[in-house]
Amino acid sequence: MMIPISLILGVIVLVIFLWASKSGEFEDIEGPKYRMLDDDDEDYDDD
Amino acid sequence: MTTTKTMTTTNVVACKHCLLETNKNQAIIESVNGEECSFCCPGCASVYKILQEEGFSKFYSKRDDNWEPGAVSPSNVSEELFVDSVTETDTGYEVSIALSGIRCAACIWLIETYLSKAEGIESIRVNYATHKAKISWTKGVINLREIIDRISSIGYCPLPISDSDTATIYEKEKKDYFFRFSIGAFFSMQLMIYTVALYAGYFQGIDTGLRTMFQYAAWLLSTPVMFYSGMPFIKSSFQALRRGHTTMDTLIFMGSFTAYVYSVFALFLDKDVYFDTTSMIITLILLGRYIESSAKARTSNAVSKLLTYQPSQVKFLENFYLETYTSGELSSTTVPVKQIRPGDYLEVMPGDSIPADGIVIYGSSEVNESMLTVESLPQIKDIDGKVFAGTGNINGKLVIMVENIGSTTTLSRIVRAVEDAQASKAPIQNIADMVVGYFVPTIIAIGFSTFIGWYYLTHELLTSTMNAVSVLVIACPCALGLATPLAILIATSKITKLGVVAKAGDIIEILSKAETFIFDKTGTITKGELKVEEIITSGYDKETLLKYTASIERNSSHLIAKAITDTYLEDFMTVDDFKEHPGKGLSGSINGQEIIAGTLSYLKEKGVETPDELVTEHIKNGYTAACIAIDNKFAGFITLSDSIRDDAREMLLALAKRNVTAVILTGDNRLAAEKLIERLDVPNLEYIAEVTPFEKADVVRSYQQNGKRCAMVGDGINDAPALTTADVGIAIGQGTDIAIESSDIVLMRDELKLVETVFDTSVTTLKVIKQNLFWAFSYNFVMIPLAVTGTIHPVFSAAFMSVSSLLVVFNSLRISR
Repeated sequence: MMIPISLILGVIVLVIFLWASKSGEFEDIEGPKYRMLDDDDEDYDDD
Repeated sequence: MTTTKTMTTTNVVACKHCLLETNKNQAIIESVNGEECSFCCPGCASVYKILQEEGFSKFYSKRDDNWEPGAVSPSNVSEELFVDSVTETDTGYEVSIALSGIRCAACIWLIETYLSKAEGIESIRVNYATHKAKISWTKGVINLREIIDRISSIGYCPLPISDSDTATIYEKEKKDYFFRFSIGAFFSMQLMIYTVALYAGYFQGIDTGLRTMFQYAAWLLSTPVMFYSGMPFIKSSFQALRRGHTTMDTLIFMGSFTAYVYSVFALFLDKDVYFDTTSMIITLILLGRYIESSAKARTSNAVSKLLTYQPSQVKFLENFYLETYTSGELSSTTVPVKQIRPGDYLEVMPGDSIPADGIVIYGSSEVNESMLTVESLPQIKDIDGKVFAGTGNINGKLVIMVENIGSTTTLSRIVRAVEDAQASKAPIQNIADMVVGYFVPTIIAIGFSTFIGWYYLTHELLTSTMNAVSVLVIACPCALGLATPLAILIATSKITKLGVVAKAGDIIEILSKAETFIFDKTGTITKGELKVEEIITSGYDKETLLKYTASIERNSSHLIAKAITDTYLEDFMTVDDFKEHPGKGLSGSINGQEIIAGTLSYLKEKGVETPDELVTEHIKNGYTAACIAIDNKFAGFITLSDSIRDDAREMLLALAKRNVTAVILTGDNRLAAEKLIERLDVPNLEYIAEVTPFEKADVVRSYQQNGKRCAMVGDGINDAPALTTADVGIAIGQGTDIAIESSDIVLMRDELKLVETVFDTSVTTLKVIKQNLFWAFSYNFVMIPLAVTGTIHPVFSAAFMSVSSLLVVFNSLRISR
């Protein structure tokens, strides 16, 4: 019983992963670390 | 501003925009918002002003210490290039473009915020890794032309993306490996749960029903790994087989596939299964392939090769007559370069690159041809002078008549030479393929004999088949499959950390066998820029002579003038009546004294008595001499030369210690080359003088014909054919795009010492590969007889397999130290 459950869970995770990569989730793995420091709505000139 | 470079000299200032250090007297000084700012070029000044006016000065505080100074290159790109990549959306259009000139994360922030501030832009997203941007905009509010102009105005160059670009192809390959690896890794991890349970069950006892269920689960999980993730190996082994070869891929396929087939049979015969072997081999090798393709994608530029050097738009002169042109009646019109035919007349402004091969009809200027020829100094082009596409016009307006354009130019010929060399390059067999070439047929033979032997003795088809297949399974273990790829994977990641990109894994192995290292002189051994070497005076002291010369030279933008001015650190004197005589020299007066600075022949022309022999001796030795006369009396001369890189000598010495021959190729004459060798002072250093750009590849070929493995190190366009011809081409990262594309290894940092580091790593790697193979074969030596006789115990074999694999893993890890 546990085997099919674990396999089904596994396949669901795989499908989510494949969907994410198809929709470009891993296209830019460099960007997020810079983007999180940017505040979108601030005035550009604050110095 | 967070980063301010320390000024080492008083007359050097950093460009306010790009931080490039320029001579204070040549910098453009403008006041922006009441502050006096200096810039290295008009491009930087204009970008700085735009950013200040539009409130983007935060850019300067955002960029980090890794910012590499470098001037903004002006771009004028026609929107026609992008028309094919525009797609229509619900509210407007969307385009994907490549951006060149991005140097840091702040650049991307700037492009995104600056563009999204424009009215009509719906979204803009720049990929940090590939520098490709996706822009969508509303119809009618803004158009493609305005978007392109906006990007160009802040100093970045938009370029079209083409599907046939090597970069795009590598991106696709990388994506493909990524999917196959992730799926392989995912199923392998699931599989491990059942495999561990099965092994534990073997020792502690396991319910038969549960065991069968676990085995079926393992089968289910390893099937996609074998047939989806393993597809590249299946395909390539069959391709190789059709040509009668066996490769590393054949071994990987055989190892994984026989284990798979054996396990399926074992499953029905109630024996032990080896599905884990199948998935582990495939997943690990795929990881290596994925890393390799990422490296390839990183080095190939998204920019079409020729596009970078040849402008897309030109200034066309219709119905050209010298009289109407000089009188100002005829003015140029801007047209796309595609419309130009041989025989047309074009105007080339200072600072532009020359769009076609042609002949100068009017004007004179200095042209930087260093990318095509071995000359590092600008060449003077007068009427009837020949100019080449892709070279840079420095200081004068020229009118040229087009002779060759497009695919017939010298630049295109070099690109074609590179392509030809690529096509004709004979692949060097790497050690793994060589071993596999003998190993695979041997194992198949042993397997076949096992079958025949067992059948002859027992007359049982099933037992005989199982024993024969078990020979194949045991003989193609992880250890042998991992021996080379793992060592190369670790070596690749080590050199990548040091700033070196290897485009293919086996190149590391080939490099270790290189016996001859050929270096291009200009730009590789030397810096490719002039430096003052010596000041020789007659009747004046050195300080005074330099003071006079520098004061007059500061008014010129010639390379020699820049080098001399840079040496001088004090205040300048006022120069009156300054005049520049292109190709000859400069004149002016200081405190009423007439100063002439220029070539030897120019001084003679002016009636100055000159010590010809002394000066020509220096010129023969490879120096450039600037002669100075004060009040028509010879006052001395300053010698300049292309300065040797700081780490060149160290690197050459290190190579000499490792018993490889180093050869320097130079276009200079023999005497100058000898002087260079003398200055380097490295034992057994060879040189070949008077090599023309097109001969470089021939030199490499002649070494190869003498049975020598060659590595070529270079940076220029003219090195490209030689880089491709050599067994290993090493390009210096600051070099030209074509050189980078033609080479196998790219030094991402501008350090020659990396050549030595990579070579050392490659030698260690080859040693480790040999040890790994030794281990793997020892394993085979013990196990194959056991498999043939059918006495092998499954768990014993599994344990032995893991131990030998682990040995290979740990041994390979030694490379990374």
